[in-house]
Amino acid sequence: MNKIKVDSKAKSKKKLRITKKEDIELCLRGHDANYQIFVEDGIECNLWITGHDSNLSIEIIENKNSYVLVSSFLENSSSHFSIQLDGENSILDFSYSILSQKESLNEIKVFHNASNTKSKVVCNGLSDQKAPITLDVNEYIPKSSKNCSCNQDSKILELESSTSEIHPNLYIENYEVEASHSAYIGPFKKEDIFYLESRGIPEEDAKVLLVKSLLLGKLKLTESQKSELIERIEKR
Amino acid sequence: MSLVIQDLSVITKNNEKEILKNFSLTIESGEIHAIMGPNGTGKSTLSKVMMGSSDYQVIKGDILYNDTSILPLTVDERSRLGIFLAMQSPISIEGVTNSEFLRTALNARRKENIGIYQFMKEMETGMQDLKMDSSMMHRSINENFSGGERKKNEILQLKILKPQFIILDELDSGLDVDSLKIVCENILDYKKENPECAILIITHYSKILDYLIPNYVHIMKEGEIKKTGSLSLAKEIEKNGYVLENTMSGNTVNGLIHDE
Repeated sequence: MNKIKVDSKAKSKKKLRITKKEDIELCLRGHDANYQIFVEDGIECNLWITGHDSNLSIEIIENKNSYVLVSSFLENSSSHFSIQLDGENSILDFSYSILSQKESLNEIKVFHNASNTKSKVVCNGLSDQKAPITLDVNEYIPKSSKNCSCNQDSKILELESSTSEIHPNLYIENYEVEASHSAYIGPFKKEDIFYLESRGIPEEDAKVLLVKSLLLGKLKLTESQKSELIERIEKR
Repeated sequence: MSLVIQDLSVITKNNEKEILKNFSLTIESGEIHAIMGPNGTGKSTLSKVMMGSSDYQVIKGDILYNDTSILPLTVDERSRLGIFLAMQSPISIEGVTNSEFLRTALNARRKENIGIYQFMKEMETGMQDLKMDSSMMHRSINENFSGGERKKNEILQLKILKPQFIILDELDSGLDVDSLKIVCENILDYKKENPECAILIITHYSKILDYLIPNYVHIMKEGEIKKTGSLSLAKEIEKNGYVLENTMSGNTVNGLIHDE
């Protein structure tokens, strides 16, 4: 695995060119980061991002037949992602989780610039201490891009009532498209808590289970990554 | 085990509509009871109230489990006491795997956490008995499960958690004939191993009662029991519908249970 550590002086945009199958780990520990990642034709790239108290800006440019898997878990951070699906048959599988106790702005933009491109964007947030989380998810399909698929699901669970917002936007100019979106903001669902409690799980433990499922359920994690994040969530 | 529902009146939390009216029922150790009745008569409400759902408010009466009121208890406390509700429409919870969920539930009722090996072995045995695909263990709770798989999953949970009082709320809905047979055989096996365990079946159809033969069949209407009898009463209902005429077998009751 090609592990990238970000240092505090990395203010300028760093550029990466992915020419062979890569696993990239980006760790942010209170720093800002600005990356541009080019993924060449037919290349598969797994980008794993963790961090806290950071501002993250990433642009990913995918070329023909490329596949990019993004799994991101951030705490008390804000982020901006711009993904350009420039090559035909390029695929984006994007899972993003944010746990925040302060205002968090998150913008994800996906541009289907070529035909037969696919994107799946899942964003989940947990708002603690009334922290307002904003998930701004925008996907663009121009008239020239045919047979594209874009699906997005966003969810924010509030431990206390907050002014969190989700903006699920699909800007589609082509008719030959498969698209869907869903969004939910609110507290734990009563029926979920009742079901777990009805099997003997105390309310607090049930909520921990649901938080773990919200924040980790969609991320593609190794066992060690999962254990580390579970520890962090339980500490919170 | 004994469960006594005394003169229970229940309203919904929001619109204060009375759903159960002076409802009484006694279930003794090892007994199987069935409740049948038209839609909207309060059968599922009864099961949820027994489990402690916050959607309802008990305004009169009591529910005694082993001579102690369970009304002050939370849902999870009732479960750990040995009450199990197999739900009519089990929900799916994305991201929480069946094994993680069941292990958490099992550990919540034990002094010491169960070892992973023993737990996996119990899960595998239970799934084999129920003819479930073993991959379901690692899938999210009921996520992308068919109606039948969800019901089997409820019975798997029952087998692992080992309750003493089981409520089956329309277990037969969504199950094909083969699956219904498998599920009922598993419940009967469980009952053989735990003869003191009592079962309350809520159903619209008598087919399930051919497998789980009840000691008593109750007809419920407008929030109370109108008639009590044996299996033959269920067969009459299936044939004639809910016509509570004197021609039917069983005794008309005023909220109290009498066998024929």
